[in-house]
Amino acid sequence: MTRHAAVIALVALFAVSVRAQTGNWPAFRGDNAAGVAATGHPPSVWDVGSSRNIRWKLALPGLGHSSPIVWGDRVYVTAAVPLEKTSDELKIGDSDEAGIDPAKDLVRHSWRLYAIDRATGKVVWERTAHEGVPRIKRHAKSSHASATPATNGKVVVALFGSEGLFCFDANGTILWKQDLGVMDLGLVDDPTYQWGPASSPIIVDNLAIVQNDRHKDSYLIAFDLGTGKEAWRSPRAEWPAWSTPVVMRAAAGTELVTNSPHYIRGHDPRTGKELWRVQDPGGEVKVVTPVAAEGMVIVTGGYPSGARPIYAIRPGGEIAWKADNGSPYTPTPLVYDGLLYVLRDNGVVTVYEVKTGARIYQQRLAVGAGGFSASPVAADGRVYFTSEDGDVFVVRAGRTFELLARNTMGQVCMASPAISGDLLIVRTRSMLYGIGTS
Amino acid sequence: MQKLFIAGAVLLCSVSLSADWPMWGGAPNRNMVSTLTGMPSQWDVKTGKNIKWMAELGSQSYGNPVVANGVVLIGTNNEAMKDPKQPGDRGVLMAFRESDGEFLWQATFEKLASGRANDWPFQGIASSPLIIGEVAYFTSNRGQIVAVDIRGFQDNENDGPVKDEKLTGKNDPDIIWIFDMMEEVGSFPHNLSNCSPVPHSDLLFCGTSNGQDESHVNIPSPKAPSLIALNRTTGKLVWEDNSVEDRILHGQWSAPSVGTIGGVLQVVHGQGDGWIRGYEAETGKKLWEFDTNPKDSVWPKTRNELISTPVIVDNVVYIANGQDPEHGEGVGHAYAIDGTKRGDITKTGLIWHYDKIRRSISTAAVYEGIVYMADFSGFLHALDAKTGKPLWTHDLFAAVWASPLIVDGKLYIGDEDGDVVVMQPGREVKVIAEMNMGSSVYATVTPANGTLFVMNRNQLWAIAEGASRKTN
Repeated sequence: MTRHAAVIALVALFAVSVRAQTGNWPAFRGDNAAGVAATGHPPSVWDVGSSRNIRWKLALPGLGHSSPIVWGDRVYVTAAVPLEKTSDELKIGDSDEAGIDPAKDLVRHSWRLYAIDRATGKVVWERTAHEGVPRIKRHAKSSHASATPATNGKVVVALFGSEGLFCFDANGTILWKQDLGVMDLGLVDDPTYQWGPASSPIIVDNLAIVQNDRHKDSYLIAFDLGTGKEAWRSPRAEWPAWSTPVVMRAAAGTELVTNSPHYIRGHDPRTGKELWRVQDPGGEVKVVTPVAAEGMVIVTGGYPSGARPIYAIRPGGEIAWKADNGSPYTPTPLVYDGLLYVLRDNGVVTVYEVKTGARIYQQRLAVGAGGFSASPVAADGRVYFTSEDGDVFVVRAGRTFELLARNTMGQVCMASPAISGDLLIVRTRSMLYGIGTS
Repeated sequence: MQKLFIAGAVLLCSVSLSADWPMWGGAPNRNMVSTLTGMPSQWDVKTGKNIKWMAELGSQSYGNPVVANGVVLIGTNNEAMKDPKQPGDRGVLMAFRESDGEFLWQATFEKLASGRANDWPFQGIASSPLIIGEVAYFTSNRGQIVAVDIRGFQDNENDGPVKDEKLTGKNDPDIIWIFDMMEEVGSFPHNLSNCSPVPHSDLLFCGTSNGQDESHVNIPSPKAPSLIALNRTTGKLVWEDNSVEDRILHGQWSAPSVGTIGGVLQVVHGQGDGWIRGYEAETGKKLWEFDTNPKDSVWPKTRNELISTPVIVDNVVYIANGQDPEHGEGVGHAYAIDGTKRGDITKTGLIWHYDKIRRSISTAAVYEGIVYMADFSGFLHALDAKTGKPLWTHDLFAAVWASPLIVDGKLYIGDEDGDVVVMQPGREVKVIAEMNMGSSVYATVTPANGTLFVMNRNQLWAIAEGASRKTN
């Protein structure tokens, strides 16, 4: 196929996909970070050992906590692959001492984007965006490829932190790249503790938008998808944040919402102009991504997490409701069928009515289930919670708790899964699984 | 029924309407139980219901409130800077008037130049002071045991031997003596010195927090003691013990307890190798030692350190093991130990072992034949004190740093969500109320003279039946 034909085919596919949206999971937590596959129907039970409902599996090199994304028949995944022998340590929260120390793996790495066939799990192409020694250390619990890429079917935008922002076409050709400088994120009161970034880029219309909150010179920035040129930049006095921006659509217009230690902000996504800000006293470490739902955005996060509030904010920065405590530290909450599911890092799930903030139930997924970093996803009346120890708890959506299954992946899981039609795509420490009825 | 129960309680044990809480655990045996009555079961920090007063603290506060002779002391950091001439990150001991929460004076301590290895940023003072008469003793973030006048300079006296304080204003501390554990006994505190001292007659017992350096491999001071005894009048060293040597797993943050066990006055201390040891209080002679970890356990996955404080009740020592909160959740072990035995009593002194508890940094409350212990995963366990048999567990859904406190026939415990739950002690689970304090509650509820003192991360709340605080 000529390149021209490929483009035409892709455009055709894109047109279909835009209409149907079936099976696409185009960014961190799918469409606008919602974590919901409206028409998805993946299985609730599978078994890695016997391959029951395991449609395919693929070994991934290196380390990456980024989530898989899906467009059409392609799954895209990023990874940072060490090219020399090094510590591949990965500490997780519960069963080991994660601490606050950076990992010791400043050796040459290769930052890669993989395009994988959705049906078979075979690699269609892989591209190296950059090779070199990481410009900043990572937290021992993190990776050098923690940002999830974003796609609109025509291009894939991958943020490899301090190594730069790369825009690929659907064949893996690098169309443009941007150096965002050293994304220096770490302990607020001691920048010598380098932890590395995790905020994912998003695509809004013809813009790629990146939240670059770091120790110094923080900003929100947009690049023209076609040219890679800077479209706007909104500087801010902020501390490091690991949260991804989301879009809140409202009658008055579209607002881009960011979650940072000092302020929750609304911006005009076309110009970057700040429209409003809500002060969040004591926010400190913001990891959680806001969730847009029911004409509001649900914002959580900060340390120590449990005593941090949950905000429901309307366009213009008006607070619709606020819960005094119950925020997660890492996992992004989920809104599904009118209910807000807040998964805490300790595996406690609290369900609220999203409109009012009324608490419906609170349940611990299991005693000793370990820590949770991945965010929940939902489809077909079920919610999937993934633990760091590698268990996927499947819970029936609704106002009472019902555990349907606990599926063991057998490996550490840090990435949030993707849902594409009948397929649940789970990334473990070194594998990618396509889970669907066989 | 409630009235009947209270009437029964009055007959059964000696109760009082007024009593101070002058140290961590209220008394040297550290049992988290008070005989006071008339404590509120409910309050509301938003409406001010049953709230007597509130004092703003620094941004992180770990030194639990103690109350004696009209003064409340707490440990916090310097983020609520009271004196612009003492700026920056410091450990701060604050004194408030018990009746109305008025700030009286503070003692601030600059951070150690060696940084987070010995003195972690913004952790403030994490020692709960001990008040005897007009003197308070506590451990500063600089690894010093400090004796101060609880009236500061507001009594218009400068108590000594230390009389050359540079700051002598009405809000400044009247230092009596300072014992520098890093200088005097060579301790190398891991991340922070935090010990809450415990007394017996003229003696003061304190852990040194000696531990690893930042490598988490080296122990820079393997010859430094884990436990020391000082003369509390002179501030001079009386005895020291280093049974742990170079076997420290990490740090040492457990506070010692004092009680008579088998007719011998003992100091009992949880130490950095995960062993708990009993000493003759007067001499420091080691009487017994007990390993709180299964022999096949491996640090840090399954082997634990001791951060909880031992509780001594009726010749029995109760303690649970666990790890630094930064290490997250994991398996734990709780024990009842017969402290009348001698030598290595890991086998001979074992009364019971409960292995369904998770890692714990909480101290036990032993009350009417039941041991209440909380764990860092957020479970409160009620165990039969004689057998260790579990009666029930209650899920608080959030990490627990604090200890259960029983007063007025009610159990109070706070969690990282900032919730304080009030329960009915007994053989069945019964929740009376749950209140949110607006910020994580790491401290144990302190009862004194008809008032509950609840410290969250950055505020101290005084709560009393019938009180009302105006809110704006």
